[in-house]
Amino acid sequence: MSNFIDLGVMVGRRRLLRGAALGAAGLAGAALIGCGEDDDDPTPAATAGGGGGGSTASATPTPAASDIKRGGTLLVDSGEPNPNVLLFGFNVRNRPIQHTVWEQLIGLTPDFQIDNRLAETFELNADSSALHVVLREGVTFHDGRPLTADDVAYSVDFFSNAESSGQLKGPLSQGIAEVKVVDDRTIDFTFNGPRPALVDMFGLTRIVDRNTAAQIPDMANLVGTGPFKFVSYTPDQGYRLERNENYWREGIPYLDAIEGKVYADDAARELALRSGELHWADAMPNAIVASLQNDSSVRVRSRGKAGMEHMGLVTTKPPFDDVRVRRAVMLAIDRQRLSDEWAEGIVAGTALPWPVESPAYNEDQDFPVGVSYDPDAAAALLAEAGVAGTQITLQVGSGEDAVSLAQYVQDDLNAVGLQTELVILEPSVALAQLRSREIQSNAWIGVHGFANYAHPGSMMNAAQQYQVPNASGYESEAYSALLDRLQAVQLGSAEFDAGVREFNQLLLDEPWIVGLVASEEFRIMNSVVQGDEGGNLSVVKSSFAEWWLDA
Amino acid sequence: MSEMAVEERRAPAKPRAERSLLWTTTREIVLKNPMGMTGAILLTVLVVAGLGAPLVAPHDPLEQFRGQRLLGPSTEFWLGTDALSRDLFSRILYGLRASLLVSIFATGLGVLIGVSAGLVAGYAGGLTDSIIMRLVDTMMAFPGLILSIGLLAVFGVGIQSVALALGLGAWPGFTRLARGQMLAERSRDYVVAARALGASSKRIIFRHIAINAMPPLIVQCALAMATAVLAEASLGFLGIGTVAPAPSLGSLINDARARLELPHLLIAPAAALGLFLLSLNLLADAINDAMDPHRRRR
Amino acid sequence: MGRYILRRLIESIPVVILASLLVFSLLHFIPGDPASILAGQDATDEEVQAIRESLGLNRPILTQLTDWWLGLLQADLGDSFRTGRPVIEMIRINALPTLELAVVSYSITLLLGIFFGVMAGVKVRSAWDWFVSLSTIFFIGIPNFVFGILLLWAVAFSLGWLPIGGRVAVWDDPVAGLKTLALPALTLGTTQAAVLARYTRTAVSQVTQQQYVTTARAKGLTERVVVMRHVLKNSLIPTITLSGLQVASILTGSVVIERVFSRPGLGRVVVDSVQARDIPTIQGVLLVLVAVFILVNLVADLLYGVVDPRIRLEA
Repeated sequence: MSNFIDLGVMVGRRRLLRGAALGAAGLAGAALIGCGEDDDDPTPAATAGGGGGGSTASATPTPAASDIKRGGTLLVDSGEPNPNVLLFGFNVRNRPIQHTVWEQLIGLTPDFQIDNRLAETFELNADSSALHVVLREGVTFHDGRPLTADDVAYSVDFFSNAESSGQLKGPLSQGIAEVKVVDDRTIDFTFNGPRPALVDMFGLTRIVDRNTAAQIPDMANLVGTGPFKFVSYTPDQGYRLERNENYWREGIPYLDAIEGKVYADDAARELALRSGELHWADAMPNAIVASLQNDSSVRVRSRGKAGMEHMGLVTTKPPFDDVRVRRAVMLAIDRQRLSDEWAEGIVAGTALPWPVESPAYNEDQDFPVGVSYDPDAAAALLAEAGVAGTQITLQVGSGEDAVSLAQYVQDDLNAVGLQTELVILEPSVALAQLRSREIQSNAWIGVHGFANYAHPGSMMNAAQQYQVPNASGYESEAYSALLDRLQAVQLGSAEFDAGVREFNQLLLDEPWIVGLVASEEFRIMNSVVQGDEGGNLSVVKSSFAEWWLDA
Repeated sequence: MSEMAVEERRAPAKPRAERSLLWTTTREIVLKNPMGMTGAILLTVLVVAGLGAPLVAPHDPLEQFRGQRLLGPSTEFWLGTDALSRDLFSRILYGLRASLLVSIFATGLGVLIGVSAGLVAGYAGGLTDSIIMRLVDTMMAFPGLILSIGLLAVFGVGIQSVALALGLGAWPGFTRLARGQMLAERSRDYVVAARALGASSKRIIFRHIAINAMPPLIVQCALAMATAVLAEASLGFLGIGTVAPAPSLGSLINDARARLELPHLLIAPAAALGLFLLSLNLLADAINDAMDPHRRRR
Repeated sequence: MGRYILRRLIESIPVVILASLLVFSLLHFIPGDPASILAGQDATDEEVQAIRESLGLNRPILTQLTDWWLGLLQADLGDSFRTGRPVIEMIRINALPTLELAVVSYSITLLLGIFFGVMAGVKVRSAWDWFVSLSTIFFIGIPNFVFGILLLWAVAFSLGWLPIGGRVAVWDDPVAGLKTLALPALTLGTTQAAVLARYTRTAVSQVTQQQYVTTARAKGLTERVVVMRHVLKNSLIPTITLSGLQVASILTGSVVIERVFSRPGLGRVVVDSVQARDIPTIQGVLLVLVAVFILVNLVADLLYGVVDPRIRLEA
């Protein structure tokens, strides 16, 4: 799955704003708030040796045609879509619209190869500093207008500019030096130096219709090239998408329509799933997922470790200016208990900000191998630093799950001798402090989504937790140099492996972000839904387009 | 109210007749009326348990007992433990305490604002009266709980905000009551006579009101407290009352809703809330009966 | 009669104006910044400022007020921060499930309340009377949302007879719709029915002691006829005043009950909006509810005036 999951929003839905999630507002704010993508709609990985992105026209394997039943309406739920951030805020609840109405130039295959979508050719030069794109022929927008290179240039510009916002903005605007439309189907990009991670950004950049893009927030006329056409949207009720008869892939999609439904709360969604009133839902709370796993009428698919709940430490003031105190925190957290109790046993504890499938993830560095729960060692470190019994403040945005997570952490810290006081903030205040990188307390509880597991540079670009400056106030010349190095390194190279290992170790040794437990996204499907294989991280295919109902 | 209090203090020792009236009334409420007695005993127990929670509670309501999650009732944890391994009984006591403090504060604020406004309106009359009473009508037009929710959006979520929001919603009832008393007193013979003699009627009026208005005021207070308790619980249930981890009866009930397979999590806080509401209402009824000569005769 | 109606109408105008002013002013002193929430964690200050501007939050307060009032006259309550949609549209959509719940609940209230109230009032100290007294005590101690969860636990969770929550529109699927409505409506309806029954009981028992009832009985009319023709009609007059309050209670109660049964509706909108600091939506819903309350009370007053001429004359 791709790489960028909008954890902030996902978690936000239940924990922070309870169904009132404002677009990209997440409590802890996913670092990558903007970048919510999903498995079926992958980000390209610059594959090993990333030099020449392969570009054979994609041929997604099609199941035996005889099995597939055509027609029907898929009933989906991902909550109230947020029109304000329909395209650029990558809100989890916008996905069914986002992923069906618009498409990107490229996607990812299950083995991390570039999967061409609207691009017929997608070629990076040897050091990933330039990109040559030729568009597929005969692709038209839903209104019949042919797709041209100008639309691609417009879309890249659209996502690079401030009003569109989102996490694409930084990487695209800083990474791309020049865009040159050669002819109707050809477009060339020149980057500001080697930018292998930018490929991921193209995998996230949806190609919009330049005539109607400005009206997207109205949610009345959404025009793209995707397998489904937008028909209507009624707030608090839902939306309707219908089959695009002129879709460029022959015979796709199988469904006649997708209907989005909005429910009062998670309990109502659970009920609708069990009764079959709803075919598909995602972003469910852990407790509900745990109980749905025992229901034979639905399938629960994990999308894997999709983000990291963490505790951020402010390193610019005592006691966390002392690295020993920060290490003590790393050791004081009982991640197994967090996993068993807070996460209802369905998500694992972790200390590394990467999905397990990411090349940047090294199991030997993570909990419980690299980091273990050792309260005695933590207490000893605190005593050594002379801060045993010190009072600290831990802030968290109000919201049931977040506050409950904070209490587990508080309990762990109290147990080793850091007297922790919880500071519960208005969500807007918590967000503002994170944004301005001025945290009032000594520490905070947050969550961020994962960047591309294919290239760590993507996350570095977008997650404030690991940028310089960050809310922890953690910085050093060595760290900045490491970030620059990681940005340019080619995936799969020896430098890559050494670089990410160094980054991970630095994060564990001088922790400014203390990983707590993984954030995992589950989608739940009624058993009549077929063609959805590939719900886990590593398998990616076009979402919804190839789904069908075995009803 | 403050003015009344001052007057009380200045007043000489109560005449014998008055004191014995107070005694008979109390006896009427508590001893002769089984409902009143039940209410009084229940309320006393709940108030002691709630206000004394720091002393009475067997555990810290926020302390987590590792590995003792979602336990049933036991000798260690009388009502079991919640999802965060905390002692439910202690949490209920502290929830009760929050509920008590909020309702006392809210009622106090309501009395303070409401009675002053009512006395001013009744005494001044004219335009002042019209303005105050139009404001009262307006406040009364708002659905109570919804108004509190709107006010909470202003003050932010938290126990202080809830107390303030409920207090600001409680005053109009007291204003009507105080104004009515004031109007009644103003036309009494003794006031007219005092005025005719050139004496200041202010002092005498307030003193009389303080005595005459006390019974209905007490009834109104008990009812306002019950309303505040209910509203506090509702807001807690909606997740916009007290901020976690602080317990509130409403939030405990909301937590229980997600774990219906463990009904004791629901029944315990619901019973505490129910008994609290019931005791306030029973007592209010008993006071009302005792004060109402018509009903007393029956 | 016409003058009476007119007078009552005019009297409610300042209340409506004051209420709208109150609604507007209260919610403009919200401490949290909606623009900041909308922007999210990674936005820059300029982005927050841009959002603030696009929402019109940086205009002078008086301009915002006059714009708001002008909008009200055109049924324009502004756009929701949360969904970006006109508030009036959100209210229209969400009013439906709330209305549906309120209507069914109120029917239950009238049916049960009057029936039990009359039975208890006609035969004071009978089993009926005891039942009404006991249920009154029960509902004083049990807040509606607790009663709702208890019902949910017993009927839906343990016995599995009815769905735990959610909503199906009655006109889409009447059976499923009524099933989802049953528990929430029963919760709200019976809670209010207890109040109505007590009230009716008192009124009925007073009327039965009146001379004309004694006369009617003496005439040898059957008890049924006495109750139907003489007692019921006269004792229901005072309950009309109560009906206005009860409609209000049911609407307020639905805010909480919707939550218990995971139903969509105005209550959910208002709670979500508080958490999202969606000012225009809170204002809109508050205003609409206040308007409904004023209207319901006005209608109740007028009805009272119709059935009891003394009221009209007083006015």
